[in-house]
Amino acid sequence: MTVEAALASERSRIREMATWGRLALRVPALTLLLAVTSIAGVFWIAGADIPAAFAALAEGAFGSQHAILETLTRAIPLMLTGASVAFAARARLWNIGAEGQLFAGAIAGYAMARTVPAPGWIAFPMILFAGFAGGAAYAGLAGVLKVRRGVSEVISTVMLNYIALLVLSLLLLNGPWSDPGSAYEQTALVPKATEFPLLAAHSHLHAGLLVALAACAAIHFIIGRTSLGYDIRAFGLNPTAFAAKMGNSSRLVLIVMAISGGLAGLAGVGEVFGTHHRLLSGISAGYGYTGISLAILVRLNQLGIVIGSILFGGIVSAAIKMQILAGVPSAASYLIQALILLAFLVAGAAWERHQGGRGHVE
Amino acid sequence: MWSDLITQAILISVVAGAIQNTTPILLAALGETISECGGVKNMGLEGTMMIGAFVAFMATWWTGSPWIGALAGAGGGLLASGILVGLAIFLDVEQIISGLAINLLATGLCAFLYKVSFPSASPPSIAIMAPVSIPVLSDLPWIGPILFQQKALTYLALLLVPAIGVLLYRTRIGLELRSIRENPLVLGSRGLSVKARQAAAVFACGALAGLGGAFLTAGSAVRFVPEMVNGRGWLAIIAVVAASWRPAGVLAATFGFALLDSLQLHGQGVGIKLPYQILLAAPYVASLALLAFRGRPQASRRRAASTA
Repeated sequence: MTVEAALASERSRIREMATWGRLALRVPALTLLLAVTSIAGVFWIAGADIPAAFAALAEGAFGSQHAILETLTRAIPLMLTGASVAFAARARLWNIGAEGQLFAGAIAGYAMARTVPAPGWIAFPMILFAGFAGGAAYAGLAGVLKVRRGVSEVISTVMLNYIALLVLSLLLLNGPWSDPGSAYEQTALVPKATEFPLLAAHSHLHAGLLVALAACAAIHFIIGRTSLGYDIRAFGLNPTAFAAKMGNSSRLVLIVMAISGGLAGLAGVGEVFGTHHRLLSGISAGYGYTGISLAILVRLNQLGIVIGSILFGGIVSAAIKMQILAGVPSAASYLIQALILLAFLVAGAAWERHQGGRGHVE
Repeated sequence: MWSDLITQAILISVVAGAIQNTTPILLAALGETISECGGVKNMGLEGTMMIGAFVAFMATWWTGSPWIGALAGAGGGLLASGILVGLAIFLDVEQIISGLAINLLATGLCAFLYKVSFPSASPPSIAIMAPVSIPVLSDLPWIGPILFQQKALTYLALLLVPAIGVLLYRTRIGLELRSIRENPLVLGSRGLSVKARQAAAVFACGALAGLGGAFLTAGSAVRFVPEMVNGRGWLAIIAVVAASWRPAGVLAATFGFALLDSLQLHGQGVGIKLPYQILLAAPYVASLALLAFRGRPQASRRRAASTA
């Protein structure tokens, strides 16, 4: 199939989906039903009062101004890792390494702030640049392994996650960057001038939110409106045809991996300079992995990433409330996220199957 | 003289430790070999092992028997692979997504259930399997302590290598399974169910990965921590890819990873002065190097050219 034919078939598929759109509302409904039922099961296992636990979840996520600000803060890294995974997946590249690229970005950003002292207004873009570059270089490593040696990016990015964690530990534990006054794997606090500006008083919400929103908008624009985006979509639909008709697929893979990694790297500097104000080994609460769930859940749509990351950020930030008010262990928040993903996969696939079954009368 | 004896003792413990460490990765990798021979990539191996480790821990804690624990772990892995069977085989969800869903679910589920079961701060511990000395053979110099004073699950894993080799490459079942990866239409045209065979292969994979996970708790550690699988599932996948689905090659690759792991544990004794993080990273770096520099067989290169 040629690229033109592939794009034409994508267009006709989109047209089909539009007529099918009204019916497709049933997929979110089915997802919601499955998710709520299974989450209720989680609360039941925890021995909690189920309605009270749902109330605590909602209240902890969106129940007050403070809760909303906290939720948005939690959404920042997820928005970026989600965008990272979704962007690469457009080209049918599975970047499972957003977690490691987040670490790489954090390390590069911290190194930049440490070696090049600068006043605040210039430190902010410099740190962002370093974070993006660090994540991009680290993901680029997986890209090079793929195009030069045929190593699947799924596997190499996972291995690089484990390696990044150990590199960070090496730097922090009795390493050159370790905080002399602490036994934890962390650096001293970063200079005040390099901290990301706060967006709201008495909260942790930092300017990383604007960066994340801008990044999502930029990716949306790149995919929909640029020739790079056209190439990415064509490559994602049919890599062989792309290589045959349009040329350099190796270059494209490297570019996509670099941008994808750069987005995750931005999440890393956001956590260092916006949230924790230091580099520490516990800098990511599995944000890279949650980003994978998010990307799948919103079908790689950038607007969906924004909404989805706020929803998932809410679940994480409500974890403490759930524990205090309803006695559900805070570890449940990751289980809840996974159950939402599973509910969506089952609902979506079951519905498509149902539709397919009606379409072909044999 | 004395230093010779000490060096010998250390060498023996490094290699014996490597063989013990091979067990969980090897079991999972043999499962993955079966599954991939049937054309299903199980990217959820890491999570399946985690569930196996957790279920084995709980079952051993309840019953006091690591044997029941290991069986339960295999059962837990089998159940976990039901997600892949349901999503990837019967609902046509992409295999990679289905596998990753297992990993994400396992991380959340094990941490949650552990907290619910043991809300107090003091972590519980379980009885673990004792090594089984094989009479006569275990008294041999060098080979005895290295090979014949291992846990029973280790012997089982090693025996499964030729067994699964025969199953996949010398029996009708194996031939049918491998034909699915080459061309799923062949079986279908003969009126045989592709999906049933794939489902069986994935369930077998899940049970073996669960058993591998069980070895991490009921077989060797008295406590459970969610991070204990630590990439072994992914290393198992890499071993399978690098060995081109040949069980003997899988054994070699998993032993290589386990040897690096064992060197890290005995690093100081062997005189390695590197920071421990570098030693810990060695299996991951080695696995990437293995994938990057393996000689790619002609057939797979042709296939790669036609699909990539």
